[in-house]
Amino acid sequence: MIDKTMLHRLFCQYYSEMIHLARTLLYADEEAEDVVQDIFVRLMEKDIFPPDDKVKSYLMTAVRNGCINRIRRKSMTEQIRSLYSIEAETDLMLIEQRLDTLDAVCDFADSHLSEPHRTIFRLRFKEDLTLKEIAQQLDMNLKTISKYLSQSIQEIQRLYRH
Amino acid sequence: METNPNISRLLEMLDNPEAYSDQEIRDIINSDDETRRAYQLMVAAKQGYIHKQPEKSTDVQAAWQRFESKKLKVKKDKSASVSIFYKIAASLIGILMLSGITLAAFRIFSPTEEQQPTEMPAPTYQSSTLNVSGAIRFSDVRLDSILTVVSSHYGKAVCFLDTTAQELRLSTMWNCEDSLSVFIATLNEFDGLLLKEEGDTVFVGTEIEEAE
Repeated sequence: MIDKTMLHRLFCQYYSEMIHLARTLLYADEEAEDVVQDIFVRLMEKDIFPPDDKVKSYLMTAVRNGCINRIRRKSMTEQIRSLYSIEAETDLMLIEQRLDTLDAVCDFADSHLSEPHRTIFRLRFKEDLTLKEIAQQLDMNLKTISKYLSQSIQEIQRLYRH
Repeated sequence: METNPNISRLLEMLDNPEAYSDQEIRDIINSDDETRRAYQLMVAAKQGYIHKQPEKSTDVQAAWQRFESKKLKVKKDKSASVSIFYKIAASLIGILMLSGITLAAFRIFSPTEEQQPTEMPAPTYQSSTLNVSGAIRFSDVRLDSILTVVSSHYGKAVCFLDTTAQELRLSTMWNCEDSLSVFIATLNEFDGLLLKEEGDTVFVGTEIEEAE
């Protein structure tokens, strides 16, 4: 039987990594915390203590699944507006492999794109601005922003098959 | 460089998804393989920039206190009620199976015709055990189909205490080298689903809400 002391120990050991993954997938602090807390509640409710050599992998998988469930409950419009993953294939990649891919895409964009492509790419995906907001901020035409961003995406796709 | 007009259309749609139906959104994303991959790449870029940010300093003890006050107190009695339910279910089924009236046993848990629990027969260990190895990915597959494969591998029977659970479609990964309890724990992470292994049977139900 998993007791509160054991739960607390797991919480202290893994919470930081779990919340970081949840934030990465859900983009929202409060929702991420809710997902992680629910996992610990379920461990206790269902009397689950993952095998010692798989605790981290179990908990991180639980975070990923919890985030996927949250995302799937949102409307399609909301999923798309927030740029959530909608592909089961991508969702079920091994977590470490997926995180490596995420880092690599950003590293590639930051190091290989030329200006103004790089700035536009970062404003869109790092600062989460719309094309219209980027156009206003850079004082450029909307169609030009769209063209540069399309070019960047195609360039990354061509040179880095993720 | 020439640009793919479908990617430009995708970018335009992402700025204003309310103007499109769900089907139109899907059609735009799946216009062609390059556009579909472009969406994946955009998701990866957004997630990547968040992931690369230095981890926010997390006050784990404060988080634990929030967890205790918000969730732990409210739910602390729930595990006991769930556990008792399954023990009773397993005991009754065991007794009734010995009496040769297995079918009647399942009806005890679901008196209505629409909700008759279903037992999937236990495979014979020598002849029916599936010969699988490594990880298997189930993508949008019915739960009863998933459990047919998995239970066969471990030589277990499956008993659905709630027929609605049979029709759930899940996407998940199963590594047949893991123990059954690991896979059950993974499935139990899906909201509303509750599996428990008792002897040679895996019981599948939906969450039992705490009595008011």
